[in-house]
Amino acid sequence: MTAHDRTTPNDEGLFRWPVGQEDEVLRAMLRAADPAAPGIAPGVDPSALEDVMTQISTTTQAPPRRRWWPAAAAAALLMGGVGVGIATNGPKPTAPLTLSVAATDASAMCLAIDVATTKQAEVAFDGTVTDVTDGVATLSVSTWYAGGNGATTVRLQAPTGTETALLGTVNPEMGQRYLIVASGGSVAPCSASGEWSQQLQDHFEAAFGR
Amino acid sequence: MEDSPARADRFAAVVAAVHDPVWRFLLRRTDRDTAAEVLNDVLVVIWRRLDDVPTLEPLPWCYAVARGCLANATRGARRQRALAHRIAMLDPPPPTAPDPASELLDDSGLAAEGVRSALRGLRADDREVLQLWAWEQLEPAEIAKVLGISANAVSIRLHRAKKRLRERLTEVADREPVREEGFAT
Repeated sequence: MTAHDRTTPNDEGLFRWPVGQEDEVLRAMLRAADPAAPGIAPGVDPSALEDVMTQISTTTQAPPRRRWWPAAAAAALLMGGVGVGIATNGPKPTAPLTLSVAATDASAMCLAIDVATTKQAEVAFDGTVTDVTDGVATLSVSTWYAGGNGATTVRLQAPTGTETALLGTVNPEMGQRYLIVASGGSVAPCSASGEWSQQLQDHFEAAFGR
Repeated sequence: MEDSPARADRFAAVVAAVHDPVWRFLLRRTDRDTAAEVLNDVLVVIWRRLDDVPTLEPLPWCYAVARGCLANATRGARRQRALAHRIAMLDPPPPTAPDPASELLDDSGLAAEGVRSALRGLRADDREVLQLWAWEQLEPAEIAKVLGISANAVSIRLHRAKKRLRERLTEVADREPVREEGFAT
């Protein structure tokens, strides 16, 4: 007898599924194991929901809570934690820029970003990691929101000694998409930089008038 | 996008219809704190893309948004710190009420934890389609909207996932033969 044939407890004490009702029984068993079934898990706190809805309804510029700060910190870590070099390459080659990232405590909370601050960034772009080699992440730029001179590639390079931070603490994944801002040669750890999300893109578009 | 009382009313109506199921969707897939944050994200997306929310059946669309927001949240957190906010796919809150389907489980001798354990042992895509089918109680066409694949593909995947889960449950039941009262001897 195969596992397939057994459907409910039979005379041998083996489990057998009721013929013709396998789906029904399976679904009922899964539902009984639902960790958030109504009546088991608590529902949404109505007052919290009301707060959120009020905030959302009264603003179209910013979400009610900072959502992407962890990603921003991740992007800062991706760039080495203490300092990075950034060089742009493209059809119209430009002189390499040198950016630094202030040292940061990865566990620190960042305040909510806002459009007014983000729009002051000198460099802002949407890019996807196409290569990570020896502490250097290469991003293919799909959109420049500010600066960049039309370059198609940005390389984020950790200085000597921080390759471990770049490749160990936060492993930039091939294919991962980021939105990054930089100013005055620096990518601030609590800036709007972070992994791409619709929310973050909305924020960039609001900041740079797209 | 124009703000108006009508828009606010429509938003309130959508939220009233989906917030509880979306909350439960998130609780089934992550910890409570992350679920609360991601729920906020989902509401923001609903507000911003209100014109895209289907009028008749908004829930699959909202589940799809929640799935994306949750993926973003968990990816970001995982990369920022190696610890927090990892997905606890099947980490249930302690039950506070009797399980309505417990009788069936008692009959089969498989406790809820056994079912969850079997589910955990499946591939992620099998698990996901089964959860949407059983926990969110969606039909293949609705699951297709959540996953962004064809209903036909969902049906095939679901069929295979059910088969694999049944086999696992059978193995579990036979390996740990159950409470004596669960089986005729």
